[in-house]
Order: sequence, then C-alpha cells, then structure tokens
Amino acid sequence: MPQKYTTVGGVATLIHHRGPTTLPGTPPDTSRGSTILCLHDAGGNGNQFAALMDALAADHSPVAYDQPGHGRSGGLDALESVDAMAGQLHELASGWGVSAPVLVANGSLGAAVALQAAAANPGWVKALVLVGGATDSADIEADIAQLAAITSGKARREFDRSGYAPDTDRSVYQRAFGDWVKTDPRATLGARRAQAAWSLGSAPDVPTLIVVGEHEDAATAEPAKTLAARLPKAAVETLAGAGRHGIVEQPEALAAMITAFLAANAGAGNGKG
Amino acid sequence: MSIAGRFAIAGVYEHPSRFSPDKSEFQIMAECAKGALDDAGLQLSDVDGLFAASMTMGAMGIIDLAEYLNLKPNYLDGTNIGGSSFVAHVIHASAAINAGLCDVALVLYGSTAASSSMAIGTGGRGGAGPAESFISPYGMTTVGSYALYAQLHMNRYGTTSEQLAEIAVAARYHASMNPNAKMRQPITVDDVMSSRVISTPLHLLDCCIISDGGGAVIVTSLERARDLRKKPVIVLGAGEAAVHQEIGSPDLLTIAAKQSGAKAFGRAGLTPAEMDFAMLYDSFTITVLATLENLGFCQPGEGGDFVSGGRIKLGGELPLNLDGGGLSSNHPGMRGIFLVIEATKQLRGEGDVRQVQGARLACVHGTGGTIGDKHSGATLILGVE
Repeated sequence: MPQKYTTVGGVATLIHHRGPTTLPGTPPDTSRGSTILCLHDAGGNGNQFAALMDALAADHSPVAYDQPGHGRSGGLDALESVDAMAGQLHELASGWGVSAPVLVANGSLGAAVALQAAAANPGWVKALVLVGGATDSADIEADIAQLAAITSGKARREFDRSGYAPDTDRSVYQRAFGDWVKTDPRATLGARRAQAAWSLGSAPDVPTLIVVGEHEDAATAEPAKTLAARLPKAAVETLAGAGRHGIVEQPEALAAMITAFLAANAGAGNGKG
Repeated sequence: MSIAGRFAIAGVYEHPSRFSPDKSEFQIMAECAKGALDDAGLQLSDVDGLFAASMTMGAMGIIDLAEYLNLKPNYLDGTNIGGSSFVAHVIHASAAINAGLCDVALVLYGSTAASSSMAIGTGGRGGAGPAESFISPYGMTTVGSYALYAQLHMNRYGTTSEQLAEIAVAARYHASMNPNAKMRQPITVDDVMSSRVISTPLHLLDCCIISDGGGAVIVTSLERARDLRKKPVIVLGAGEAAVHQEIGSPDLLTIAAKQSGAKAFGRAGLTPAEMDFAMLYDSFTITVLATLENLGFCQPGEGGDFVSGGRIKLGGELPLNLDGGGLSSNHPGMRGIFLVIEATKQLRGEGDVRQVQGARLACVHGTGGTIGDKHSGATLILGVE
C-alpha cells in the first residue's frame, strides 16, 4: 500500500493511496476515475480503508489520510474542532489540485467532517458517502466520559468489539485491533469533544449516500433516515452482511455500492467524474 | 588535571516533537545537531568529537551516525549505560577535550520510542548477567523492580504513596508551563492516587510517559565557549558509578547516585544545600526520591517529607525537573540529555515562565538501567560565571 507524508498545517500527515508511488513532495496519482477521499472516525486512521481502497482502485483514485494525533500522523492531539478538520481536509486536497472529490466517511466523526467540508466549500465536493454509524452520536457524552477516565489513568483502554455483524471472522477483529491501537486515546478524546461541539448548519446540496449495515443497531439506523430526510439529495442503502464497520466487514460490496452510486450521479458536482 | 571548571556546555537543543512517526532516530538526531550548533553559533564542520547512544544503535551505531551526519570526527564515543549515558557523555567529552583528543564535542540522542510502540517500563529488563536466569523467568519487569524498591522504602521508613505523588504533581505543574510537554493538564495528589495501579505501589501517574524525542549538547573548553553565542554553562564537578548485584548481597536502597554524587560534589567543592535547583532522572516517582536521598539532599528515609509541602516546585527550596521531566514532558526511553538541556537553559536564564530566578548552580543526575537492580549513575554539577 503506497504511503507518503505531506505537511498540512505544520503537521506531518500520512497519506495512503493506490497506484504508482510518487516522489516526496509530489501528490499521489489521482488520474483514475473519481478522486475518493476517505475520512476516518475518531481514533481511526487511513489504513482502515485499505481493503476498500483496494476494491475501488481499479476504477477510481482512492486516497486516505491520518488526522493529526491519529495513526501515523504527527501531533499529540486531535484538531480542536470539526471545522478545523474540514479545513485541513480542504487544504490537503486543494494543495494537490484535487477538485470535485468524493468524500467517503466512516463513523460519526468522519460524517461530520465530510458534511462540514461540503457545506463550507459549496461546489467543491462531488458526492458524499457516509458509512458506519454516520449518525451514531447518541452516546457521545458517555464515550467522552470513558475516554476521559482512560486518559487520566482511571480506566483501562479496551478494544470495543461491538457493532460487528454476527459471525464476523476473527481476522477482521485482528486487523481492526491493529489499527485501533495505533492512536493515543487522548487524540480520540479530543476528536470526540470536537464532534460533540459541532452541529450541521446548512445542509450541503450534494448527492449523498448513507450506508446502513444490515446488522447495524436500530438506534443508529433510524437516525440515518432522519439525516437523509434533511439532506436535499440523500439516499439510504443497506449493506448486506455488515454491522456499522462496513469498511472492514464488507469492503468489496461497499466498493461496488459506491461505484454504482457514482455512476448514477456521474453528472453531479464539478470537475472530472 | 581535573576537568572541574575548565569545560562548558556551549549549545543545547531539545527536539520539540513528542510523536514523530515520519522521522527516524538519526533524522531526529540530525535536526537536534543543527539546533544545538545554531544555539552555540557553530557549524557542523567545527565538530570533531561525536558522542551518542540510543535505544536501538548497535555496537557500531556511532559509525553509522557519523556517516549519516557526514562527519569525520577525531574522537568517537558510543558509551551506552542507559538513560544516564548523555550525562556521562558530557563528562567524557570534557575529559577528551582535556586530553587534546577533540575540541568541539557533539552529544546526540534521538528516539522514536512512542511511534515505534516500545514497551519500556512494562517490558522485560533485558540484560545478560548470570543471575538473569533466576529472575527473568518469573516475569520481573522494569516497573516491577522500581515498585519493589518503593515497597522496601515504605516498609523501612514509612514513606507513603501520597508523598510519591507529590513528585508527579510537581512535575506536571512544571510541564504546564512547558508548551512542548506531552502532558500539560495540572494534576493533584488525588489524581495520582486514583490512577490505576501498574505495579504496587506505583500508579500510572507515578510512571514516566513514553514519547519520541531527542536532544543535542555541545561541549567545548570554557575558553572557547566564552567566544560563542550563549553564556557558557560550566562543568564544575562530575562523577559516574555503577551498582550491580554484588554477588547477591546489595543494599537495595543504595543507588549509584551515592557514589557518583559524592565524587561530583567533592570535585566541585560544593554541597547539595548550595544548589539552586536540580534535574534528576524521573523514570518513576520513586526514582526521584531515591536520588535525592543518595545525592545527600536529605538523609535516608527523609525523602518523603523532603518532597512534600511544595519544596520541589518552582518557588520552593529546591525546584526539580523544571521541564516537567519524564513524568510529564517527554521520555523517549533514555532521557538524561534533557536533564542537561533544561539545566543549561535555566542557568542561562532562558527558562521563560518556569525560570528559577537567580539560578547559578544546578545538580544534574542521570540514572540508567533499573534501580533495585543493575544500574548506572552520572552526576554533573553545573554553574555559570
């Protein structure tokens, strides 16, 4: 999996991409199909999209990155707000000359950053795909309290095995654990706090696909429909065989769903399709 | 001829990063070298003595480092005695300059301990001594050995966990004034006491953090240092020591600082009571308490009372670890170089909001290895004109 560092806002930011490797200082190759920028959740990192990127790479140019404090990017802490995270995404992509990207977001923070980036930069984003508990913020205060206990040494850090489809293969958990452990919980806490302080202002006028896992908890599946109703061009589809971790549970099926969605919305937005 | 009072630290640099997954150890060292040379007003071509150690440099790593820096030094020293190595390097550099073997010594350290996910305190102790086969199979860890030391100290003298926590609280207070520190949120004794136990009686907040980082120190003659950019920080006294298992009958509470400190203070002609502040290796809170007693800042058994009541905070009688130490600022595995760097900044008056006002004399002590077991100690007494 080609990786490279680029500096965004003074932070060494790790980029994951597909296609040929490029020299330092040279953007990754985004000549195939749509440029698909993958946004991870709080505590996640770009490597979580590895299998999905493999599945998308034949037709498109997928790129993922690790937010500050996450994965293998520099910095101790998460960016202070969702607005700052969206700004970082825009700075990262526009620095490469990427126009009309498709944003594929995982989890509730990824969705918040994607929606904010689309709302703050009208006409820039071609389409949004929100995967994996995109509206899963019901327990965010409890999550923050638990992370605060962990980062102050009062609780142990434990891998969360919830939200996966029944009979998920052990190898999926192993890969997920390997990526989860890369991020310091203080960065996860900061990202969650930023998310808790954020709310969607004007709804972006962008074709949006909200993906709900077949086995996803109803507590998050129902709000997905509410979110879809609020967005002017949104649809909800169900990903078979997945919980709320579709990017690692069913990457090939998800890639096919994204490709079909983009084909059906080929005229959306500006720039290359 | 004694080195006391004739050699000086002319430049220092601490790498600001605490997490650098995009850098290698050598890259961190190179950036630190540039920073320290800029600080001193020197160029890489002025360096003719190279001193370095790291968590991963092998037996010939110093040669690899010279190649990386494109240096052709006249003197190389890859001494690795654990975290105290860089305090010892300052001593060795002074001795080498004294012997005419080099003129400008560059001391370097770099580490990616955090981004390489090294388990430093909770991992095995390593070592290859004959006694290892009787210890390692039972799962002894680094933190376990320090915890046993703390238990013995508590049993013998009545030292309490709350007293150890005072050391962590003071370190965090100082870190709160260090914009580069990894942990800057002030804490209380209760916070330390309620953090989870790692190895009884040591809580999580009794233990150092793990970070990336690095540093560099330039040592030269006092005469030359006076012509450079910054105020020289003079090596007034120095000592080194090792403590080992003594054929099975050690006094566990006597650490290397007792021997190295006595030499350093004796050579400087000074006493602990004359120090304005101290930079003491703080892998764990108990390390600081043990070091204070063994250096003679207080008597054996008095460490618990000594660290209480604000004495070791900025504004107290003996401020300790003003950068926040390994407990809160940074600990990339071997942090002795940061003791020298912060002491130098303080003695130059560059401590910013955490400056010890009027500081002229400092004690620096590095510990390498594991107290309660085999370890090294290196002590410097530093001062300014």
